[in-house]
Amino acid sequence: MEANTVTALKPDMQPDVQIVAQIKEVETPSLCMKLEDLSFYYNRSDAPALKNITMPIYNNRVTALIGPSGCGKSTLLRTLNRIYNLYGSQRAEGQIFLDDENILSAGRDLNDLRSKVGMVFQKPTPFPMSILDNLTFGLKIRGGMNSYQIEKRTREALIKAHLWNEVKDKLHADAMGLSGGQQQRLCIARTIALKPEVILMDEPTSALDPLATAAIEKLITELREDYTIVIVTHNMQQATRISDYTGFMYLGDLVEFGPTEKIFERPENKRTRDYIQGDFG
Amino acid sequence: MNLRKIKNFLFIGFCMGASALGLGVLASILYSLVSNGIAGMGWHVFTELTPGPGSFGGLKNAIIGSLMLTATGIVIATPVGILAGTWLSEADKNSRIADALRFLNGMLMSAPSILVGMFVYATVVVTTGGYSGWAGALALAILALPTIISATEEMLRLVPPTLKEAGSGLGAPRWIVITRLSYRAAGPGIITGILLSVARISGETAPLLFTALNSNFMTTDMGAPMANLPVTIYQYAMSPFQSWNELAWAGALLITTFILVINILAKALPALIKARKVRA
Amino acid sequence: MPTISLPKRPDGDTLFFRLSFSSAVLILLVLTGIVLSLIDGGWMALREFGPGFVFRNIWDPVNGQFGAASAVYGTLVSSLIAMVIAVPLSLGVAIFLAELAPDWVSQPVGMAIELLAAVPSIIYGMWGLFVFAPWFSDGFQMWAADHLVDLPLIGHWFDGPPIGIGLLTAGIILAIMILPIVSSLVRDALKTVPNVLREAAYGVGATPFEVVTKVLLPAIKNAAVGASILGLGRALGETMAVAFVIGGANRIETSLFMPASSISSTIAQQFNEATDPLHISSLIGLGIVLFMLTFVVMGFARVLLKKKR
Repeated sequence: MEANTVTALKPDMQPDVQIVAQIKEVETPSLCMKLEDLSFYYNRSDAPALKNITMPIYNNRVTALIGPSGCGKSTLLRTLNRIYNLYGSQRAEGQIFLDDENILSAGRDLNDLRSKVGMVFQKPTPFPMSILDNLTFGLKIRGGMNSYQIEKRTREALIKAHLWNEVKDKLHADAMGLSGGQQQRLCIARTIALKPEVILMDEPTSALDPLATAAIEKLITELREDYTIVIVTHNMQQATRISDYTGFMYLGDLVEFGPTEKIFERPENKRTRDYIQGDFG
Repeated sequence: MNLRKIKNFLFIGFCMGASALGLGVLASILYSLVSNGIAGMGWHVFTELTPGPGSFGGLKNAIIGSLMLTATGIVIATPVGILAGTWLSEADKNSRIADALRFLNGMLMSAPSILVGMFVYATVVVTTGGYSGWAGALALAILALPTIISATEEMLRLVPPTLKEAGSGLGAPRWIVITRLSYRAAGPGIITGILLSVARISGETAPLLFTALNSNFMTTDMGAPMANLPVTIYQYAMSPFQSWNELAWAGALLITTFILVINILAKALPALIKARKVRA
Repeated sequence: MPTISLPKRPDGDTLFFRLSFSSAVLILLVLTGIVLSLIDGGWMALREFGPGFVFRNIWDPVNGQFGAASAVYGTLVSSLIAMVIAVPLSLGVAIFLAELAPDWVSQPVGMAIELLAAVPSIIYGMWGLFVFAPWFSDGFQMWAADHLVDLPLIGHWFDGPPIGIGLLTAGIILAIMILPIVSSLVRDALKTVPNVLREAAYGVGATPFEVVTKVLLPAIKNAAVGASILGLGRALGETMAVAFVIGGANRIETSLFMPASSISSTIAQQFNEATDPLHISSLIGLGIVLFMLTFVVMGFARVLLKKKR
């Protein structure tokens, strides 16, 4: 067992600066979102795809959702910004709190919700327009900013997404011309330009090569400073590398949730253990 | 064994023969169009008006009239067709209304064009008191509509749902996602559909017979009977006058060239746009 | 640079979908409008002649006597001729393009056949009248007058003046018009047949003829029938190509060489010149018959084509 992966959980170890910081983090996470008794149905008559899930999402932490294909991890992610509402037959029950407000309530302004809870998809989804238009798309729809503010915001987002140097000379070029990794970083920049509270990421690196993946992972750990991140991944190593909390899902159930180190080193549930060992072994 | 080989040989021969026949007909049509059309072609075709019986002239008013009728028809049909196609593509998968409308659209697509002409005659020509360019353009618009609707629906269905989700995920309302993202992504395909309907309606004759009628005058007044190429070709070709027959061939060459060029353009367009994007 | 700047409108979605739904409903309105305007216009003729209008074999504008029989006969017979010629040829073309020809042949040939579909019908009419009819008169009708007239049963089909135009010519021109439509639909259907089926059939030593007739054609039966009926629908409603070459005589003749009339060619040739309200109404009555014919045929074709998918 590597020492530094469990230090955060063992406050009796050598107190050096880094460890203290980590302990502090573990001790004082505040709640960002809270899921209570959440169930989800793709069709009225179908069995639930999510079954009575209760789970916290902490501020300025990376929460990873893992589990075998079809376990409901992407479904869970898609309830958090209610993107499922695009499809008439899909329905969620229970409660999801964001800022003490149930976002599942009927009258919730979904467009406002989605500008607070941004989403990055499995495959890069650049819009068929210029790089700059991609970045300003959400800002212009939300309105309330002048062109100077918009320009400043887009530049900040590009810098933060480590894309500025690569695209600053071709902001008016078609976004489709970027490489896969650049496109994904553009999608992240597009999302953070809106300064959301939460960023949802649905297997954001599964379509990318290892180098681009490393860049995105580095970016995610940096974004943690300013944003709360929920990420779905089927890559165990990725979850251990970048997440603070992990939820293991199986057949629509949240089997186990806790600090990432604990889930991977000392899982309580046998199913979690089998899955993690199976994948690592 | 031998019988099998003979059968197979005859079969392949028949298939090749049928294809050769198709090509032969196309070649014969093109040859007669070009040889007769060139004979009647000249600057006068574009600069002079359609002549009276037995005299000489050109097709200027018919060409301009046809362009106006086709353009107006497309301008009417395009927004309606795109909106209707959008509704069909966004409609719930199990929507009975959408299924019914899709079926009816198919029926409208294959309704004989002369019946559309009769419909516009009864509703527009009779009620407004006379043949007019507007009536002709409306008849052409009705003929173009179903093609534009189904092209739009088909192309919007090809837009990846992730693109729409990404747009919604940024807080954009559905109509903005559709108009700013889906239309952009489906654009080349929809334009192809529109071009194909331009090609179709610019050669339509039957629906114009009782709507735009025809005219020997130069007019851009859509409220009056309007000269147009197809009806002019029909009248001149069926006449005993040689000067009219020659003009009919010239007009036929013009219209076929126009339609074939539009067709080729329409089919090449998506690839062209893609190529340009990759270079940029 | 295209910019995106939009005023915030809370009910943009509602507005947009109302607008687009209205546009979609317009399809229904136009079709209903066509039906209603035809019934309204043809009412006088239907009241005068009753439902028997469809079967009355008389079309006499001078004496105000009208019946659809001769035009219906002309429409049905010319379309039937077109089907008899076009369906086997279309299958041949489709099979050649999808199964027999190498890519470098089938690509350009397929494109050429599709161009044939884009040629407007008035051009087919002109070509039929000026190029095909003279050739047909010299090359076939003269010969038929000497050799085919004495055949039992079908001899009288060819007993007529060798003038190049008439029912048979109209049928042939229609066949040429629907050939590209039917063959490209059948070709597309053939291309959807999975390759395993072909490989399995060739694997047991079947000849191309056997593979196509025993395996592929049964697999696409519905689509092929649907495509043919779609072609039939086009033939029934086609106006201009027929108007050029059918001859314009409102009579029922057993000879296929005789001038005749179809529903649509009658309408095209007489509608503008008709002044007698009963004449106009009878022409619209013909339109009702044509609408019902094509509606039934096309509906049938669409159901068949849909089943395949």
